Amino acid sequence: MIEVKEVRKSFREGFLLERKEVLHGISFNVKSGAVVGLLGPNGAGKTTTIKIIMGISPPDEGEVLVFGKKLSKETKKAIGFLPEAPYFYDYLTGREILRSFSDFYQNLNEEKINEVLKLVGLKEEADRMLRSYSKGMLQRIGLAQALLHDPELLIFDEPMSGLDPIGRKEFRDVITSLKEKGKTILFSSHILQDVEMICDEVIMIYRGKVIKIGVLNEMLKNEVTYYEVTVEGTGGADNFSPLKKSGGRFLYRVKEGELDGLIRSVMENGGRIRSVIPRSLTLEEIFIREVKKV
Amino acid sequence: MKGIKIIASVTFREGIRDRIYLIFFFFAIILLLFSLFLSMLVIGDPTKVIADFGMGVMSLLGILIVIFVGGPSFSKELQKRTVISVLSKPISREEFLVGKLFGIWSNVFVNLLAMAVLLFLLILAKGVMIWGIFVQAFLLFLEMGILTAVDLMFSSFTTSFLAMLFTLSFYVVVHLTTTIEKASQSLSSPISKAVVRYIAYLLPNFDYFNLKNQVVYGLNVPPLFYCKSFVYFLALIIFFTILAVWVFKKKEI
Ligand SMILES: Nc1ncnc2c1ncn2[C@@H]1O[C@H](COP(=O)(O)OP(=O)(O)OP(=O)(O)O)[C@@H](O)[C@H]1O
Ligand SMILES: [Mg+2]
Repeated sequence: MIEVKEVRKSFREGFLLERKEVLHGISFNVKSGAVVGLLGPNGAGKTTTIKIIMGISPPDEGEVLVFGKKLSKETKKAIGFLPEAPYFYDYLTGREILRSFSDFYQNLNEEKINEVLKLVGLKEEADRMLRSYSKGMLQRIGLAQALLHDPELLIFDEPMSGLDPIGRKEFRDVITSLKEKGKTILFSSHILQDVEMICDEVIMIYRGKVIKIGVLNEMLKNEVTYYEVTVEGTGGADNFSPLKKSGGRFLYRVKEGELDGLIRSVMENGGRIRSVIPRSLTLEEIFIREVKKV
Repeated sequence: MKGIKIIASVTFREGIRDRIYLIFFFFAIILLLFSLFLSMLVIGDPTKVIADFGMGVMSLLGILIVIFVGGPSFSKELQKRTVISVLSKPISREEFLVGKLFGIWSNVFVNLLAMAVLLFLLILAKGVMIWGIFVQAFLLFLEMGILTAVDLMFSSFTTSFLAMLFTLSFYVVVHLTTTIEKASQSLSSPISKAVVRYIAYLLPNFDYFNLKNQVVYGLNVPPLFYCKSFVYFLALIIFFTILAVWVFKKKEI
């Protein structure tokens, strides 16, 4: 659905207008129907990549295909876009901005506008001027204008920023329901838990390079697991140092191969195993490890 | 085309609701009323004084709106990145810029029309009808279109403040063209005379949009003047709009 091929981008900067490359050949694909997270720390190049996909900023090299074609007005009609920290017009109301934007597309009526307003939870505030909107409300109206025309492809840049926990939950629900309708979604974030909860695939970028691409489930499954073992009773285990000790309880963290040894040792010391919990690396840990590799 | 219409309409509404716009408007009305008072103090035909002063107020209001409402509305879109949301819609950069131009220009139109009607009525109250006020308002409207294109061009590559400054300088210079030309005649050295005349020749001359004296004194204006003004307007607005689009398309957003 989206093909990004060897995209490079540089900006002119400073007094001498020196070129500074911020994207060093980014390539990835987004498959139809997938929910893909674009992950990366501040300044990694997420927004720049997204702007290039949306045709707002031209790449220096490489190309982007959306729906197998170069971006045009026609293809743009099938994309819904929510920019980073969206901002619209101060003296228009939420409803007016949606009405104006709906003129870009065919067959959008007031009913559809009301439906979208309700979906993003702005029904009450729809007739207030946007200058009185809070950051989270602007984020919501931004989401509304992206969903207005029921596009096939959705691109969101930092959609969760500015939203409160309830708002984030609502947003995740919106994404889930869009996914059920078979929409393709690409969104950037640095809130890893959110990505972990809703994405099928992740693309990690760091300093203008893709450092890892993968299906999230496999990525998490293939990562070395460890076990957390809670032990009660006498002394604990020999040869193992507990992570935590409180009252008569010990918490051990061991690798898979060490588990049998630990259990045996506890038994020999007359202790009781209270729980054995397998843990895999979180996305956050994978992310930090990948970044350190670079 | 659809995109131009949408942006023009949004810009127009945004402008008309802007507080500065309202403040300027009231300021202009107060100045117009002040002209009534002025006409009592100054020796001469009171209606001429009001007409002269009133048309001056119209010019002032036009330029104020272009510089303090129009230009900033464009700079703000770039700065607050509204433009990113808008350009993700099925619209090109050209259409966006032309839409802004028409939106700002319609703001100016509404204002000039209201001013002209008010001024006409003020003078009518004194028992005189000066239709020429509407002609002058229309010429001002054309002038402000060019100025808006110039402002959009400056706003595309520099800060809001500098764009204001540059546009204002442009306005002052093009109104001095005739003065510069005249001044060149009093120069003694033939070379400097030629240079200054050449400069004056290259500068746009906004006297094509100024009929204030003719209106005040009820002089006849040859129809050819209007033709020339209109052609001049078309050439300039197309030139500066193309320039503005060219600059804006190069802009890194
Ligand atoms: N218009 C610009 N001019 C100069 N440098 C720019 C411009 N836009 C972005 N950059 C630089 O490009 C790099 C990538 O920026 P980008 O906004 O894409 O990062 P990001 O991944 O979206 O970060 P964040 O998480 O903070 O939003 C940064 O180093 C930034 O300074
Ligand atoms: Mg960003």
